[in-house]
Amino acid sequence: MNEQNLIEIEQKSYSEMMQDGFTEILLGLILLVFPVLIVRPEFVSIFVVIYIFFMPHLLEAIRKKHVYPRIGYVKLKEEEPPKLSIGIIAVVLLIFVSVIVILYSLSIGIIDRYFIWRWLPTVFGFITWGPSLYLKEKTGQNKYYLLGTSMTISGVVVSLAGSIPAEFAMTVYMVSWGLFFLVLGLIRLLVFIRKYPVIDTPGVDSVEL
Amino acid sequence: MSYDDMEIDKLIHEPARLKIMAQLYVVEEADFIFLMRQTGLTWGNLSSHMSKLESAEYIEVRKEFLDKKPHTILKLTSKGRDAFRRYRGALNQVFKDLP
Repeated sequence: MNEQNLIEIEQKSYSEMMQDGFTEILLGLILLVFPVLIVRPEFVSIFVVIYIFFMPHLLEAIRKKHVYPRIGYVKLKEEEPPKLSIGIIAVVLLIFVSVIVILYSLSIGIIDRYFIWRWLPTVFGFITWGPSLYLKEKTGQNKYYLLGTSMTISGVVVSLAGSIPAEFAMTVYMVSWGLFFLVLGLIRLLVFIRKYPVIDTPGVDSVEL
Repeated sequence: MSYDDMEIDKLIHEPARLKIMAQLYVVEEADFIFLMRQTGLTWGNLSSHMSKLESAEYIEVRKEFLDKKPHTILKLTSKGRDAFRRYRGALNQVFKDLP
């Protein structure tokens, strides 16, 4: 029972909880709502209330009813917060400076909101490398590289398509990926329900020891 | 170190219990169904090993109801976590000492 065996057991446990399709459904819903938030930022508060406060409870309630009776329940270890390193400080500083530069450029008219909409798919594509690498590390499955790669490439392509209006291009990018993940999630959920019937448990106390 | 000095925890050394301990070591907690599926043990087998590990205070067992059905959650105690760590250390030592 070496370190590698334990990592594999942990990755398998994580993968088990990923097969119900809910991660894809949630990602799909977020991407579908995103264009609305960009164009109408006043909806951000509603989004935060629904997605941050209600969604986790709703998701847990659904999992309790439909997932745990089929494959069981596991609570994975909580992540330790990363130690403050020069790398983390550099990344935070870079984000901070980028936001200041963008806001300043917007205020003096060097760039406009159309410029932001134009390049948002590219930025979003690169951002998805975060969850992509995280899921690869957690599950050990290389297929998660595909998420970052395909969303980055399509993001760059959409951003460079100058003939399409920026707002439309950004909306098409988000909605297309949103629908893709929503459908993928629903298919995975259906396959999951078919593959794993509810296990009838006798109750631990009833077992003769 | 001689083999006599080495302490291999026999409670953990049993293959089925080793599977349970290893599974619980890498997660926060898990329920009966999850452990059954991951370890390949039957309900009765898992239940019997669970009782032995619980008696040794290596795991704690929490019983609750989920959708009106009994739901049993298992978690490694700090004593169990230490015992598993020591067990791994002892086994590693055995292999390290081999010529």
